[in-house]
Amino acid sequence: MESKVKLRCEHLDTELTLTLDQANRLLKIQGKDPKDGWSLNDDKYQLNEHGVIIRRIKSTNSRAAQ
Amino acid sequence: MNLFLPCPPSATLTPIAKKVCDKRFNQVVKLVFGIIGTDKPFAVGTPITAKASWDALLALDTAVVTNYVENFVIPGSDSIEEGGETNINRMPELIDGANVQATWNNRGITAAIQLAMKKLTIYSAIMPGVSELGFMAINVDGDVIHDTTEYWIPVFNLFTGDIDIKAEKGKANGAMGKFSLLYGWSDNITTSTPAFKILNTYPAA
Repeated sequence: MESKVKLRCEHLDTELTLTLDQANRLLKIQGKDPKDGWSLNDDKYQLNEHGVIIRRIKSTNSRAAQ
Repeated sequence: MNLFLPCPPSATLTPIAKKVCDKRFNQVVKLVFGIIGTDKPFAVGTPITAKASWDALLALDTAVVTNYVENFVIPGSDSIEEGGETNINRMPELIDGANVQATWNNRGITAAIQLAMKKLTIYSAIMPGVSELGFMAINVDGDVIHDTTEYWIPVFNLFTGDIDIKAEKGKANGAMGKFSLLYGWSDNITTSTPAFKILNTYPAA
């Protein structure tokens, strides 16, 4: 099953659930730093340095690893 | 629209509202095409006036905004009448209102844009008289012309021609665009003014 990503628009007070591809397309269409735009609202995902939504990288506990 | 309903007609006529000014839709310069699904493209929470609503709609890839188009025209529709010679008083039978064809010029488009436009056709011609494609228009002032309740206005047989090659040196090329509309297409149209510069925003680069 395709992964779904939650986005939120504070201006419209609305949430959207999109596929990862659609969500990334939405961020691309709305451009950088949009006024009143959509933002990521999903714990399972994060933005990378290019502003692309990726799966959240689980931080490893270094002490436990030792 | 069926001109002959309700039958029997009401015993009273529908009042005609007083016109207080000229309604002008102005020159159409961009078109929006979209697949008519079960959900409307805009709603109370995602109004047609907000950029965020348009961004979300276009991200689904079920709607596209064209580049600037030139010479967009939709003629007014006429009636379809048949017979006459054997009718009472030789008066032809009024059958229906006629469909109309919108036409425009896709000026100076690249082959890639031309191909993308041609790929819309299949949605507008599922079979003769059956379409899943709708349109809205954007006028030169940046207002969106649309159906008041459904937003999409169904279009049929959307066609994009190949580009022309002109004899005159230096002239821009163009490709014909056209589609058909049902009689009654404008029964419920209105304009909305987005709160952002829609002509400058779409299509996104």
